[in-house]
Order: sequence, then C-alpha cells, then structure tokens
Amino acid sequence: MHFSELEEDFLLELFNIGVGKASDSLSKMVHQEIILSVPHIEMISIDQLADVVGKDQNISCVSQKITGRFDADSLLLFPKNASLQIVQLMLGQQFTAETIKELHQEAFSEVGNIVLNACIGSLSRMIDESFDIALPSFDQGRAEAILNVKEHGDEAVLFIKINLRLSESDVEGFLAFILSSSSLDKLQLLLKSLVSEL
Amino acid sequence: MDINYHALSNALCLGITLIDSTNTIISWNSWLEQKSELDEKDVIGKKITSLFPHLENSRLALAINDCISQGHPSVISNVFIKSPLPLYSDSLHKHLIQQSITLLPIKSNNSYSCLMQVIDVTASSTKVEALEKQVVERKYAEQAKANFLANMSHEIRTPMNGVLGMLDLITHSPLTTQQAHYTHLAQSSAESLLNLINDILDFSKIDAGELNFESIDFNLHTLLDEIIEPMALKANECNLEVILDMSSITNSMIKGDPFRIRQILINLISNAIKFTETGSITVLLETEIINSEQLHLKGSVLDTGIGISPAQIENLFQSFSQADSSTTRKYGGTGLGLTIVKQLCNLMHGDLTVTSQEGKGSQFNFYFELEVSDEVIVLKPIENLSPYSFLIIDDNQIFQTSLQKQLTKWGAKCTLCNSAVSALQLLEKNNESLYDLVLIDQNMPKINGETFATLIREKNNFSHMILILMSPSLSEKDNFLNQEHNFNYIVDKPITATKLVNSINNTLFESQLIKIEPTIITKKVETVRKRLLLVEDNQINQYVAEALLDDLGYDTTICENGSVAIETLKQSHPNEFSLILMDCQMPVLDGYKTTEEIRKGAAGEKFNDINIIAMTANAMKGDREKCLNAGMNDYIAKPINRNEVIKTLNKWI
Repeated sequence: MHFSELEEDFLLELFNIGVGKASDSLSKMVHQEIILSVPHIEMISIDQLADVVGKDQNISCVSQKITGRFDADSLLLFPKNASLQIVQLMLGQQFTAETIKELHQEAFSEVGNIVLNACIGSLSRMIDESFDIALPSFDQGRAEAILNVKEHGDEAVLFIKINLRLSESDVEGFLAFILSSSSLDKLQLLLKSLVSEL
Repeated sequence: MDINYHALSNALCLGITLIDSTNTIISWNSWLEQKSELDEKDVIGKKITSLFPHLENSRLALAINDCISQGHPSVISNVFIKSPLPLYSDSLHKHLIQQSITLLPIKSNNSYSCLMQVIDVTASSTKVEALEKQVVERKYAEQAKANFLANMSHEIRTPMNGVLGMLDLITHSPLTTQQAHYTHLAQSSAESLLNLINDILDFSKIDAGELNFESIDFNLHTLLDEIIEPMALKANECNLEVILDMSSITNSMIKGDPFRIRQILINLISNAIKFTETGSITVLLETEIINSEQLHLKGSVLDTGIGISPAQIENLFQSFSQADSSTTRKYGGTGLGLTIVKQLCNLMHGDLTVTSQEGKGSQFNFYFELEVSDEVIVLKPIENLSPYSFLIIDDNQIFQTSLQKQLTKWGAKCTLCNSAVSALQLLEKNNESLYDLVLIDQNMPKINGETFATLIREKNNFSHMILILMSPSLSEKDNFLNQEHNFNYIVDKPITATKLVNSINNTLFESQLIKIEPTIITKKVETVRKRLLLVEDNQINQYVAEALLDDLGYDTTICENGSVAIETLKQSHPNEFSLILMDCQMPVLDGYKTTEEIRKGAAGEKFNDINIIAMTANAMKGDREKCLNAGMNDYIAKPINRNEVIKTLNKWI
C-alpha cells in the first residue's frame, strides 16, 4: 500500500514529534545534544525491510510489543557497529571499546526503550487511544534471522527511517512497526479518518 | 491458599514500590526501607520527588510520569545513571548502591499505577570496572612492548651498522687473499645476524598485532626485477637456474605494501635455494582481478630440492620449527621465515600452502589481496608482435614454455627448439629464415649459444635474423662481449618481463646496435669533489659514513647534532654543500626538527631547498613517511648499504 501525500505528511509529523521528545530525554540523560529526526516513512514488507537493512548485516534491535486498537511489534534497528558507536558517543571517551561491548546491550536497550516509548506515545495521543506496551527486549544478529524473514516475509511494516545526530556524527537507523493484516486494515482506516478531519 | 503480598514483597532481595496514578507512593518494601533508611510509614502518601528533591525533572521522575500518565514501561539501566536513588549498602560504610530500575504500568479503572523494581547491580558494575581496568592495563603493556620493539630495532641496528660499515670499508682496502676470505666470512655472518634480528623483530611485531601494512602504488614488474636479480646471483653461486613466469600478470601497477611482498618472495625463493642442491627454482606469478577495487596476487615457488615429508609439513608453519631440527644446524635460519610468510599472507587476507615430494622438490603456493591502482601501466613491447616469428632455443622445457607464454601474450608466433642442433636442422631445412628473432640460451649440450651464432652468421641467407643471447648470469656476461658481432643483444638470465621487453625494443624496434643494459650500479665520476654535510651523533657511524663517502668521491663535514648543523650552514657559502645526510635520533635537536627548521629558513634562505636524505636505524613502518613529512627528500635505512647510498646520491646530486 502507498500513503497519499497528506497521509505521509501526517505520519512524518507524528513521528517527528515522538522522536523529538526522545531526543530531549536522551540529551538530558547524557548531558549532550542528541538530535533525532525522521526523514522518510513508507509501507513495505518484512522482506523489503530486511533488504533495506541488509540481510547479512549484523544488527542490534530493541523491540516492544504493543496491543490495543491495533497490534504491532515496534522495533528500533541499527547496524550493530552504528549502535556501538551511539553507545560510545553517549558515554564519551571514558571507556575502551571492550567495555563498550560489555555495556552495549543494556545501554542500547535503554535508548531503544526511550525512543520507542516516545513514538508509541505520540501515536496513541494522535489517535486518542492507549496501548498496552510490553517491556523492551534486545536482540542482535543477522537481519534476516532477527526479522524472521523466512516465516513472516510477507507481513506489512510501517517503515520509518531515523537519523541520530550526536557530536557531529550522523548515524542512520530504522524504526519499524510490524503489523498483522487485520491491524494494517485498522491503521489504514484510522489514518484515513484522521486525515479527512484535518 | 491465601497469599500475603505485602509479606511476600518484604521477603524479596530487591526494592519494590508502588506509585499510584496521582504520583503518590503507596508501598515501600523492607529492602527499600533498609537501603534508604526510611520507614514505610514515613514514605507512604508522599511523592518520590518530595522525598528526594534532587529527582525533580530527572530521567527517573519523567519515566514514572510517563508510566502513570500513558502506561509506558521503562528500563533504567545503570549505564548512564549509576544510582538514581540514594540507597546505601550498609549504614556504616554508606556505599551508594548502583541500581537498575524497571517501571511497569499496572492498569486499574482506566488509570495506571507504576510498579517500580530496584535491583542492586553494584557487583556486576564492579566487574565491568575491573574489566575496564584490565583492558587499559593490557593496552599500556602492549604499548610498552611495541615501544620496546621499536627501540630494540633501533638499538640493535646502530651497532650492526657499525659492524657492517667497517667490514665494507675493509673489503674495499688492499687485503691479502686470506684476509679477504676472513672478511668475507665476517661480513656474511654479520648479514645473517641482521637477518635473524629482522626475523625476530617481525615475528614479535606480528605476535603483538603491531605489524601494519602500507598501501602505496607501485610497479610490480619493477619490484620483481629488484627482487630477482640478487636472488639469481645467489642461485647461480649454487649452480641453480631461476626461471620466471610472469606472463599472467595483467596489472603492472598495484597498490599494497611492496616491502612485505618483497619479504614474502625473498623468503620463499631463498628457502628454495637453501634446500635445493641441483636443478632449478621456478617462480610463477599472476594477478587475478576480484572486483574493480581488489585483486589477488597469486604465486608459486617450485624447487627441485630435498622435499618435505608429510609429517614434517604439519609442523612447517609453526614458529621456531624447521622441517627437521637438524636442518637448523645444516642450513641455518631461525625457522621463523615460513611462519612469518604465512602470517603475512594471512594478514593480507590470503594464505600460504605447500605440496612436496621427498627427494623431488616442493611447491609453495601463496596468494593475498591487494588493491587495484588508479595508475595503469601495461608492460609490453613498443609494437604488437603479431607480424613477427620467434625461435626460442633452450634445453630447459619449463623456461621455454614460460618464455613462449609471455611472447604469445604480446602477439608473437613462437617455435620452440630444445637444442641448438635441432634449431640448425630446422633453419637449414628451409634454407632461409622464417624467423625474425632468435632467443638462444648460452649453456646447452653439444652446441652452445656462441657456436650457434658463429655458424649462423657464416650463412648469408640468415643475415637479417636478430640473435639474442640469453647468458647465464650477469657476472659471466663479460665473457660474451667478444661475441658482440654475432649477437644483436645479450640479456642475462633470469629473464624478467622487463628485460624481455627491453631486448625486443632494442632490437626489433630501435636500432640494430648492441646494447647491454646498465644493471650494475656505478658511481658517477665527479671531476670536482663535492662536499656533503653529515649530521650524525654516533662516532662509529660518523666514521663509517665519512670513509664510505670519501671512497665514493665526496668530502664530508660532520656535525654531531641538528643544532650544530644549522650553525654550520649559517656560516657557509650557499654552494658549500651539495646535500645533507641526516640521522633522525640525535640529542639536542633531532633530524626531524632540524629538517623542519632548515625548511623554515633557520639556516638561511640559501639552504631552504637543499636536498636532505634521512639516514636512520629506525626501520619501523611509518618512519619513511615521518621523514618525508618533516621535509626530507629521501630515506636510507641503516645499516647503510653501499649500493643504496650510491643510488640515492646519484639521484639527488
């Protein structure tokens, strides 16, 4: 499915508000400016998502399941090296690469939790419904395996590119909401009615 | 069964508190009571931010807000914030507990309460700190080791420079036969010692992961010419022939570390020479493009030597093990050579393997990755060779075939003869030459190259035929000079692609004059002796360099450090010095700083652009760049090699 221009603008706005809030929390946490932005949004399949991320690419993934008006698995994905870089930059020069590896899972889970919470919050405020949100879980490995392309390759993904800018470094990552087909229908209807009200 | 949840939460070894939708604490378990030193009754009904005012606007307070207002669960690890709550390990020592906090929304009547769990992670955090300390200490130790190696490299080479330099001077002075013999032995022992030291330093560097590779553009054919010449001389001394097949090298210019490639080839070829008593050493090389940026350099070194048994092959690439420990005594060496070569190949994403038959010979195959250079140079004769027919006469079949492969690549039609006798028969059968150019080996049974030429030149119908003699070695070439009238060109074996191109260009395409390539490095004959400035702190090295330069026809002014050199230059006439030879590590003012100063004009504008050549025992990677970056023009590594000095001085004076 494709979004109309209006729908796309609407979603971009929504997620930019979400990541904007996350930027604030993250910046406050590490006392340096972290800027998150959403430059692009589209609907794709899991199969395509794996292609974009790079099937053989090693990725770090934080996910939180949400249930409510519609159900989704929300994911924050960064190439593994990029996620290590983020943690390194956030912690500053005080640690060696070995220690960063040791702290990586905990730290990146926390970052993912903040970003996902903020985006889910933004989404639920917009549709004026709340979701039940599970605790974050962390996964790391080849994109193809983590996204379970073999079994769920056809499923729809609301795919959101995000840029993270920290200490003059730009790191690109992805936010994805994996939706079942019934949830996809619900989201589409919801989006249509919201946009028509604008 | 009735469960008393309050009692249960008090029994837990972690902090549990419940905050209701109005942000008020409604429970505070025993663990928290104990660690915070606050009783539940004093806490209940209060906001967490009024209990602990420093939490106002903190990450924890905001996350609690999100939890009760929107139902967001949060994990607050201790990576970014160690101890959000003022909790202590014991009342006596007051150690702050490092915490990991989880906030879970509990939904009731359309509103959320927040269940907060606090876990003491001080222990695992201490582990991480210990790890960090270990890593840092290890890095310091590695750095110290690397510095030690760099210093050792310098310290060992300085006296070696003295030894080798002195021996070189002695060999160039009048000596009795016995003295010359003793000196030669001392010289080769000193050279072996230097090689051993280099091997051990390389090995330690690889071991410490300190070995770095350069990535520079270089001409593979030029590099091979430089490597093969001395190797062939060595092989000749042992009556071995070196055969090269470079016909499958498609890219002359490649990008990588020429020093390491040289090391790999020299190691394998010297090894082959060392373990072969009769026969030949064949070196095959080819380039194979992987993609637009990378290529493989593949090669084999085949010998007809003593071979290696399957059991010995297993241990071959292990450090300090030669095929048989008795070989160390017989053939010398550290037993590190092959280990280093294999590791070098591995570090360049390749490998070294061996196949061998005892008593028949061994074949070492290697490959490694290099980059494709932006520069493109194709080594080939001036014109395509398709209109020309070549006759190759040589009794060694492997050599014949490799020569044929190369010439065919350039378009030539080739006919092979394995003896001068059969070649003569072939030529006489047609009574006139079908061949434009004949490449003939000197050493063949029955009729050798020289005799063949005399016989051919007597016949008028072969007069236009170009004859190129392939002489066994450079050292014997003088013996053939009286053959000039019979041969159009004399080329010494082993025949590299460059030499082959030169011999074809000089005969088929330029003139019919006899030219012998100037492969011997000769010193320039200067009518007026020129003066060089030598900046060097070590007295022995001063003496070695001065004597060598004197022998080469230069006068020398010596300064013991950079600052003296600058003073000397200041008071000198602009044309006083033709060049400066500069040691790098010196007291007062080192070579790098001195050069920078001179370039800035510290010695007067007249010497701003004087050529400065570094002479240093620092042979670690990056030293060359360091010298050039400081403004020096070139670099000679110590121990200084006579030919190297002549070559460099010829280049810059």
